[in-house]
Amino acid sequence: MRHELTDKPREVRCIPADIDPELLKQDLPVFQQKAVDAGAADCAVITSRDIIFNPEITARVAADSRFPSVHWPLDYPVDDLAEALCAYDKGIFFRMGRVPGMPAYGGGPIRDESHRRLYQQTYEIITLIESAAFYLGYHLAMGLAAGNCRGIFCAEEKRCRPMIKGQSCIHANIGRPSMEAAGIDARAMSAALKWETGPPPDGFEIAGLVMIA
Amino acid sequence: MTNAAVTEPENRLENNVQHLKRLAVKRGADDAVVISAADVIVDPRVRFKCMIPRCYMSGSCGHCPPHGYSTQQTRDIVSGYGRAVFFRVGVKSTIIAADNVHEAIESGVMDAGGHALNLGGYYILVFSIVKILQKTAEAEGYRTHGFAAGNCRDPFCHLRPVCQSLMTDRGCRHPNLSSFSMESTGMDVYRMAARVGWQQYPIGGSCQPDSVPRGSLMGLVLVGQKKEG
Repeated sequence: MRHELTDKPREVRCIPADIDPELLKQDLPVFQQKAVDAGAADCAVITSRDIIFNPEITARVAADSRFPSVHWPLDYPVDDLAEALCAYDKGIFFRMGRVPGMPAYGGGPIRDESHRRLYQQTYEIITLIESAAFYLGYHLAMGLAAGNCRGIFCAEEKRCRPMIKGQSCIHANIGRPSMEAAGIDARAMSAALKWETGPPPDGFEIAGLVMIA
Repeated sequence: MTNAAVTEPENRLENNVQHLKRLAVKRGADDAVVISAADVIVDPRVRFKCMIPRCYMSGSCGHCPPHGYSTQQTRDIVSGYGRAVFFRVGVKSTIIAADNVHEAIESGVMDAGGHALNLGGYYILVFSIVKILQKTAEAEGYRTHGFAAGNCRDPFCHLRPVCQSLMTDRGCRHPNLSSFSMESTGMDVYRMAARVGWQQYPIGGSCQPDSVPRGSLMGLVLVGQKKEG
């Protein structure tokens, strides 16, 4: 898995003047299969109209200030992530399998190795799909993960470094916002896809979203 | 106002931007085209590509997201101009996609092959062409707004600990050279290149020299009539 992420791309397509809808239609199942092969329990091709924003989720993330990071809660002074996500047409939505007894970590640190690994796997699947899409000419492909990247990758750090003015992320190209930080209701999206959702969990779904084009 | 009064300044502008196009090539660009400012593509997704996942320079340079213009501000700026010179500087894939070049740039520790330094030279060329075109057009009485490629901190302030513009009240160390990049303001450079017929390949950290035939760095200079009053 890690090896494939850093492998050179098998195919690099020239950026087209416009996205070819037929080609995109052929490519989307390939990205979907990549997610499943890499460990996603469920995966679907969606449109940006299927993204469910929920202000309550944004508020829950904002209220969870135990372990703040540049990606939790989100703070883009001049940019609107919802506007950007709605500019895409198609994307890939997936979720990971449930782990019995896993606590609701929210934005807090994940110190349990197996639980952290599951979250890391979500980030890896997103990177895999995003990178594959980028090299196939979908240069604006962009993914959102689950949880707070600081709690997953920088649980032992005293601070999220890019929160210090002028400092860079120590996990650049890996750390990214989660769906919940963007105010997206992954559980409602799973339900809309008729995926089994069970009783409402305390925490958020461990899911990923990669908008392709 | 007669038609002739409208046409003469427009003709003069057209002649001047055609001159700027030739000047871009003379100064080192591989290709340059004159486009309508209306053909500049501003997309809210582009700035997020600098922030999700976070580029190593995001937040560390005053000209990179999350700092800088919003896409709406960029649209407003672009709409105030009529014409633009869009140019491309080609870079061999053995340089732009060289082994470890991205690691060298991100870590700040130059690679033994000198590819990161070499690539920095190409970036400086793009910034320089932008400024040459702006100064030339301004000398002819036009308003301009220039946009280069990448971040300006690596090519101009690589040996400095911080971006002075971002971290102090003293402003940029290189105001006559630095500028926003096209992408940092939300311009979809790749799509614009494709629409003028340039073959542009996506080049990321895992690219190898044989993955792509070449790379390109692009710049844009908006040119407009001076506003009256």
